[in-house]
Amino acid sequence: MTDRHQMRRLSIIGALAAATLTLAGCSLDATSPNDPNETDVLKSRDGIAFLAVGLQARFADGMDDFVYPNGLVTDELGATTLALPSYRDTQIGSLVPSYDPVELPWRTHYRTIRQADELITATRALPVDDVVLDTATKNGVLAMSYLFKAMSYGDLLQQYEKIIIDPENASAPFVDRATSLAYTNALLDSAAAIYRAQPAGATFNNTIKARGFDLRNTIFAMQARYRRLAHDDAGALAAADSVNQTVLSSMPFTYPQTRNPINNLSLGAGYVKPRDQFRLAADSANANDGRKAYFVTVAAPASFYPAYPLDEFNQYANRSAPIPFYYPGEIALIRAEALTNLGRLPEAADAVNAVRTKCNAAPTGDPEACLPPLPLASLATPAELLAEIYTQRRFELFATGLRWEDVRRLGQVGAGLSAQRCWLLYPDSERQTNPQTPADPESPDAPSGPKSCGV
Amino acid sequence: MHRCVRRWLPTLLALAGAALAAPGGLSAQAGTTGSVRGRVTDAASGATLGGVQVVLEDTRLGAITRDNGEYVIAGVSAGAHVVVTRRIGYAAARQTVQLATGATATADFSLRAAAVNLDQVIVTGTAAPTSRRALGTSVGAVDSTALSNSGAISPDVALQGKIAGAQVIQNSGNPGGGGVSVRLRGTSSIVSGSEPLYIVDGVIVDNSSDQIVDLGARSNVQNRLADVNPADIERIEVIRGAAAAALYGSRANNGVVQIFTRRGRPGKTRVSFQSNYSTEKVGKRLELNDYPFDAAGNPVTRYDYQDDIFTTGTRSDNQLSFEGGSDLTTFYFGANYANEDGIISGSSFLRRGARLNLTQQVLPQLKVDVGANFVNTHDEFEPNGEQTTGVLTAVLFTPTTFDFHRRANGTYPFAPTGATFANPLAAIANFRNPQDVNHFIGNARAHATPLHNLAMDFNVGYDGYGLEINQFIPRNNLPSELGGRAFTAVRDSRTLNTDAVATLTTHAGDDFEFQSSIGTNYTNQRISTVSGSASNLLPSLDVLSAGATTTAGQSRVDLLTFGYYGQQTVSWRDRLYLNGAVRVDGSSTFGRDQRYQTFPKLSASYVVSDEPFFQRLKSDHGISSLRLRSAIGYAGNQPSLDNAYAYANLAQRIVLDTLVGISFSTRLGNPGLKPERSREIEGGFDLGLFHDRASLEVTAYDKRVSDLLLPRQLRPSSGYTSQLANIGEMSNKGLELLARTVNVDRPMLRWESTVTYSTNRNRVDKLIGAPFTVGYANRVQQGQPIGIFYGQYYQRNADGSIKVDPNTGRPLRSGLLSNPALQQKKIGDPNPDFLASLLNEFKFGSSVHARILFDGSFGNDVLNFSRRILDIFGTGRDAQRELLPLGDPRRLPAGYVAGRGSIFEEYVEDGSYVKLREISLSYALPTRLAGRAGLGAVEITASGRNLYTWTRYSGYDPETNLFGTSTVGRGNDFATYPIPRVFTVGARLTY
Repeated sequence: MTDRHQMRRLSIIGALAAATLTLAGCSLDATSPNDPNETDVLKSRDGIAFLAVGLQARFADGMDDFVYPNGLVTDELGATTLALPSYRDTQIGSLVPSYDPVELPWRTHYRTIRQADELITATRALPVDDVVLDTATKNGVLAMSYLFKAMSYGDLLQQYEKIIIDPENASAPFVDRATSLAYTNALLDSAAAIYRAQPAGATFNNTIKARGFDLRNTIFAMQARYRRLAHDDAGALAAADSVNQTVLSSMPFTYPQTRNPINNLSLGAGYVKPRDQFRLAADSANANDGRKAYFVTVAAPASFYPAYPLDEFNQYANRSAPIPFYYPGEIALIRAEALTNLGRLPEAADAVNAVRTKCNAAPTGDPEACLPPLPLASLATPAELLAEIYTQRRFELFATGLRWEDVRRLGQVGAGLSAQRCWLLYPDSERQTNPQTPADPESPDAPSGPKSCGV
Repeated sequence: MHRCVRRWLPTLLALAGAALAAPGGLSAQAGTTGSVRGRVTDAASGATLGGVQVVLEDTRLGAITRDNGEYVIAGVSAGAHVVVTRRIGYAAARQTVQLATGATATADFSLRAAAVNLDQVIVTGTAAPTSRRALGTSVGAVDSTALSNSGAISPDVALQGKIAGAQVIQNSGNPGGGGVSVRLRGTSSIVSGSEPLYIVDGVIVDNSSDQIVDLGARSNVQNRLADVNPADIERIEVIRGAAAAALYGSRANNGVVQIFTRRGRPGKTRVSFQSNYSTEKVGKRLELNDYPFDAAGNPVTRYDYQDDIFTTGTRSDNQLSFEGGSDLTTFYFGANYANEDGIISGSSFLRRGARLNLTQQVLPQLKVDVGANFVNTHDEFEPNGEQTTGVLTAVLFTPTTFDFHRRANGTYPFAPTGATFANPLAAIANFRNPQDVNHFIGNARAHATPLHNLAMDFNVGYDGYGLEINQFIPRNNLPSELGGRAFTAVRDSRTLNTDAVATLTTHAGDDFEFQSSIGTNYTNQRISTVSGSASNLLPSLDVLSAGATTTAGQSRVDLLTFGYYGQQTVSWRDRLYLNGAVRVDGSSTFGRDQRYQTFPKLSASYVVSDEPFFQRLKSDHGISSLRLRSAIGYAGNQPSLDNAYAYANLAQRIVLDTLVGISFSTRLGNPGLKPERSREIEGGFDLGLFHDRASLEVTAYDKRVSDLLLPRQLRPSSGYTSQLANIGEMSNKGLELLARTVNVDRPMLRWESTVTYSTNRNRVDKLIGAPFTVGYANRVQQGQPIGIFYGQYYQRNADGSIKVDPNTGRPLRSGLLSNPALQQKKIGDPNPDFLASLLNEFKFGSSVHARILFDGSFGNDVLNFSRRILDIFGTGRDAQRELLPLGDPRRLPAGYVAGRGSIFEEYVEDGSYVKLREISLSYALPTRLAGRAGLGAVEITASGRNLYTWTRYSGYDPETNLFGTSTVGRGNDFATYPIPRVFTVGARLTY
């Protein structure tokens, strides 16, 4: 073998090796063309605006997670034959910690809370720019973020006995209801304060806020709701008085872009439907109650438990039906309850009767009983008033998820009563990943008799 | 073209040019060469043998024999040369020739049939073509004779029962292959897929089987390998694990299947026309409730819609090919037209395609070849899958008293089971789900030998397809879509890959040979999908623009992989071989901190029987050859397409009413993401007995996958629920056995048998976080095989019988809700204990050829979800027992079968089976007769595929999987399109 051959061979090998090595430097970076990067989103004004829109959509996505577990545990909703075991078992109060009705409310609400938190931090950090993010828009985004965060906590504390209110901290303890309620009310106070300082402007109203969502009235309505929960009658009354009861505030859906999630579960998948219990109870109270037909239609679809026949939703029969954040009737009834507790009984009676007699009045699109007023004589004592208020709450607030709290207060939890259990279990996924998770407040199985929930 | 390639290509071309043009490069051997020629025949029959590879040892020179058995090797330098012949099924033979300058030497060979194949050349998994004897790993190889007459319409289906250690499952009987899932040495991943890497002539091809359109939830569509025509295939090589596949780096964890297409050989142009005609039938039908009374004892009419749904399918498969060439040019052209009408009315598959392969010796030192394969397929799918619009689904879900037939007014009644469920007869008559695919696979390769001991290969490959799939539900056919619905998805997939490798062979004395290789590989894959849907359609129209409301979507994924490798082989006296290699791989899917990963391998092979001391054993014990081998290697598995950007924290688009917003994801990005990594150790031996008339290949392996990608569960209260992370571990241990025998080798009868046996034990060794269930009941649990069935079970009496509720007579399900840990348990395992196959081949004289292949899977369970639905809806034969008159001993209490619906234990069945996978009988007309008809040869074949199944399984077919290629979701049967029995007659005419 000659030297020349050797040289040539070596040079070829060398050149190939060199080619190889130059290639090693070539870029293999690929960024997703499909999804925005979170870090980039938080740095831009456009990103903030889109996140603010997304925050409302996030909350919308979880609205059914407050309605159907609560409805199944109470006497409002029932499982059809198509339903999965998790829905069927929830109806009889038996839970497994990995069931969707246990997991999903927790997950979706904390997901909303994280987005609200990041949005608040990023919005506060962004310099104000009159073109894109003027002060009014910024305040609108902030007030709305506090509101949705508060509503998420408010839902959670009506489903789980203890919750976390500092979720960014991995070792945050689970706090009791008094603490979480106080925190929720503080968040609502922040929202109200920011809103009062300068109401959201046209940019916010036209490009960020959902159609049909009324920021101002929803903030005060939620203050009324959660002050009532905290037994703060004066506060609840003041907040309720701030709500303009002729205005509706609801989450909109436009099928097929978005679908009302309750319609989807009830009529799309067909898993969960109203129990005829609501209609029958309304009948026995007053056969002419206009709210029966508002909420349900008589249909008798197949029920998994033959003892619990079902109806169909009328309110959510449309895939694009909006879901209200609250009904004006709830505000009227919160007023009535606060007035009762404050000893202003005649005003309370008027407030209850206003709910009973609402008929073809503004606003339209909310439930209307169209009933005659009750004589003041039968609404003379606090006990009479409260009984009527809770009766009206039951028929006025069907399928809002609020009934569970009411039956807890009325002591109607237990076998054969209006609700099958006091609380959801803590989700399995939280227990697996968070050593702070407390012991479950109740057994996975339904209690065998009446029990007190201590609220 | 990607900038990496742009930068790389000129460098390489310049390099190749320089090597060739270098002084003396071209002329080094000119004027001093002669040629070697000869003829090769079969020793038993004396017939000439075409397609025999004849090479000169220690050079890159060689030729393939023509049909008349003759070959010529030109450009041979003067001196002594060893001529070696290789052909599958025959023992290698060697002769030494002395060649004078400018002269021609003759070397004729007469080859003996042999079951040992130590000299077969393997290309896959090594930097340079290597004979089997030098490989430290076991490689599966199947040649065209084993693929033809298989009755399979796609090449992956044709592999069933032919490779030890390969579990090839046809997921459904959908026309066009039905979706195929291949597991080589078990499952090696949970979230990144466990299908092997497919390569066609050096081109990495996309074999995805994504369900782009929802034909009824989890319907099994075909995978894109269905576009490759089995008749074009010359041979398939299968390397099963990391030890053999380390050179493919981060994509080879699941093994590699390389397909080589026909390239033609010198000689008279051979024109061949083959036409097959098949009929297809459903193997078995479900027994439905046909009791003529209802629960109240009133007479009722009952219907069995299987009568309306199943039909006799037909298939025709036509192939025209030309092959031939000169000593400098060879070509193969094949055109194919296949049409399959499936056993479910209205389902069909049509494939039209052609392939051209051209090889040209441009210069004595430079050979180029190009391959181009264009295919168009058209499918008509019928809705199928677990829910809603599926045709068979409706049979399970609908009580047999319901009349689906078309009414006098021309309309079909809606299904009684829900607004989203279809009337199956309306679905067959009115729904349409057409799919069109235009697929091109092409490659261009240059093979240069600038020096007699230096070979350089450069290959550019392209695999691209455009797929359009549509779904059309006309108005008034589905209650949930009364206005009708149209859906269209268009996918464009492009994979470009470039490979370069150089191999230098040197010697040290007479005993040592060194082979050094370096190479690079770059792959750029882009998959882009555009989809749209419309509802409330104008009457009779099925395009998106006919709808009142329309939606659209688009996604694009880029995958970039760049790797380089080096390999060093040392061989000692052609009997001891050591091989070491390293590949370094980078991928766009890895986190920046983990961009480049290293995959080494080491292997050894020792042909003990070539040792002088072994000669005595040979005669004494009938052992004719023995080779020992062992290897260790590492390979990876990249995050799948779904997780191509999982290293980043990505937000998502979310729609609020009519506004668009951004939603934060629940998945946290992982900047430290890297490939799953498996380390495989294998060892084994190849034994030849009785003058190599019998061979036994035994291989044991231990494959451990670490850095297994799994979603790490995060605290949901943080707002995140998971993060994809390299946190798991899994292992596969197993044994593979391949035995071949030439039982009889006489002029009038050759009888050969092949047995494969393999067993694999999978175990999830480490799982961070809680066990989880995929699909219905497939569980991932530490310490258990992947995908075990896990669920509720019967409460039992002391004697083992099922405990029933004393009040209702219904069975009691396991556990109490208050003790969920006790509620569920392992109730089955879809992983087989072992797989086995038996092939017998007979050649009677030169004209009659028979093959019979049995293929079995043993010890695997199947979750029969179809039967569960039959129970819940009272549709099946068991539900009928509740209707029997009181006092009938077979009567079951009312609600019994529906009551066991949530007890999954009931539906786990033994899915073991043995199938008569292939049987064929061919008759070649005597040449004299064929010649009289103006033909070279005429062959007539009758064959069958999946003609009979021996099984205890109660459903259509235990070979099925609703979840397709899923890693965890295995062995689920739910309204799946059954695999048909296929009878074929065919003829091949050759000019």
